[in-house]
Amino acid sequence: MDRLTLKSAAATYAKPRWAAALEKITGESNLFCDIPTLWIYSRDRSPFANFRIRNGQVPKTLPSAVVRPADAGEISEVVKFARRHAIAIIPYGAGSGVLGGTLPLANELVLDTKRLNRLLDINEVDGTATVEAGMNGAQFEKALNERGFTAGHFPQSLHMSTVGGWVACRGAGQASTRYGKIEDIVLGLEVVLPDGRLLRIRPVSRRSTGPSLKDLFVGSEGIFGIVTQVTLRIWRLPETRHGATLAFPGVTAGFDAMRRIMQSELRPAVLRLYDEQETSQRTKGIAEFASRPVLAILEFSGPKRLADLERDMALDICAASGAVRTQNTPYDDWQGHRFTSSSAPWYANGRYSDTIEIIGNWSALPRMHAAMTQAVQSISSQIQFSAHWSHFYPEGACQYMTLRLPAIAEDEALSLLGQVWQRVQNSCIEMDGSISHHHGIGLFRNPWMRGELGTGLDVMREIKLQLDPENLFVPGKLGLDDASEIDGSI
Amino acid sequence: MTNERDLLRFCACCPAPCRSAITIDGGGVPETQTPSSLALIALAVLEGRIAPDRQVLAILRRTGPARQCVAACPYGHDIATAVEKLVANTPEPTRATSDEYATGSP
Repeated sequence: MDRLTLKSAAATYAKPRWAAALEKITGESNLFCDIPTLWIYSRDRSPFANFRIRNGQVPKTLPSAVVRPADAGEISEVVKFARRHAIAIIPYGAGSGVLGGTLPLANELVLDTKRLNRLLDINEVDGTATVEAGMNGAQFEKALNERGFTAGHFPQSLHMSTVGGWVACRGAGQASTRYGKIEDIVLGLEVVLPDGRLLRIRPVSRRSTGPSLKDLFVGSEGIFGIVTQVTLRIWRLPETRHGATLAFPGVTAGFDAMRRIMQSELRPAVLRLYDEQETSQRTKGIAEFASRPVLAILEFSGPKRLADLERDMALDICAASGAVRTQNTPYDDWQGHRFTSSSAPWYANGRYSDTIEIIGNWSALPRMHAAMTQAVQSISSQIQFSAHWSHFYPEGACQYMTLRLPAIAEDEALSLLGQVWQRVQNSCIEMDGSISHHHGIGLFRNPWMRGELGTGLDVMREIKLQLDPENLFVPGKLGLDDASEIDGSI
Repeated sequence: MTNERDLLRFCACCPAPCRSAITIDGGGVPETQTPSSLALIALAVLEGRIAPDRQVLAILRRTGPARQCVAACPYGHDIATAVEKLVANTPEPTRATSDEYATGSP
């Protein structure tokens, strides 16, 4: 595969002829055509982009330019301008995606939404907050906290993502088991369509007015429109919070307890179950794990009487599955590091890491874990593989897998990781799971969208053709282009 | 960190959980002003992948937001100071790269 270095990209870059005209919409200071800026926006936080950029390469291509509109009106004008000049656009929040969704593939124009960063309204009566899409997630949550509220959405990327990014990739927070994924939290939206029109979906709890238009955009990763404003459900800050750490005799016993908690109408804020590999990393020196090698972390929050009761009922269920409570160090450590990334030291030292998250139903999860572990281990003994389960539902759970490789040749590492993705994603589809729980599709999951959606992929393509006939919004992603079905993997 | 390059490389590979410390006055900052991006550009200069022309140095001089992030770095790093040192030790260039770009369709 040809690799584009920063030097060669700079040598061949030509400032677009249309740049001066675009500047008239956003102002000169909000259009960037310099090489360092274009390089920075050519990456996301996907492992692939990190592998390339740490060696001074461009992950795919540079964007043609980066534009930073001030508001939805300017975004609409930029979109109309782009359509007139057949310029493809990629919306960009904080670039924290890990599937290549914002990587320019053919010198697209990158549209940074971070100037849209105001919290517009908190409606304490309705329990809603309306926020511009480019606001930083942690700043949004902090502003809510100062008024006594929370959005209940705490992705690991909280501090390095935008609210619009949460919506665009259909993300999940660490308390999703209690508060839901972002699709459960978003009530209303404002979106700029590919022809520049503004679409507003009014924020109400439920409606019966045909299929949910809101859900056409929540998770669309920008292919159908650019999210400019969001209204979310908010909650009073919890009165109390209980954390508990448990040791289970095995993964099966842990699954059994988690399933029964979720099917008992309890609403824990956090449930996390770790396989033996991940447990051993988190429980050094804690005696109970010698005979019970599977860790679970639980958290209950809300009104004290309710949280106390839910905790007690959940702990009874766990005890019936053979679990014992231990010291709370693993829970405290998780709390202390829940918003940081463990990948930076691996990338910085020339090593490799990647993550794959899927979802399966209870009846399939034990087989999924066993089959995927075996499949990965059969590829190469160099791959460190581990899993945990961290978003739970009455019907099943998200399985989050981590892959690590030592500092080997990049081509070899990419080949090994590519084989893992093939085995895991194919296996997931064979077992009737879904290939992604919350990271989204982006570029790198293109090859499995046909298997995931079947005829549904044709429906998505037909909707795309109607909304964006020139395919100018985020081309080449979400498996929508014919070539992308076979040309997306690393 | 054992040396400046290791520090910059670490930060360049970090997804910048410190960035929420950047104040939102003035409508947010471009991606280039986050510590991780500054570190990546500075590393590229140190490794000779990009020339320290006036345009590059102008970007590297915008360390205000990165300085706001210092207290929020989970690893205790100070990228603003590292970048400022690099700029201070770089001779003032005569070339402004942007003036040399061609105009055309990329």
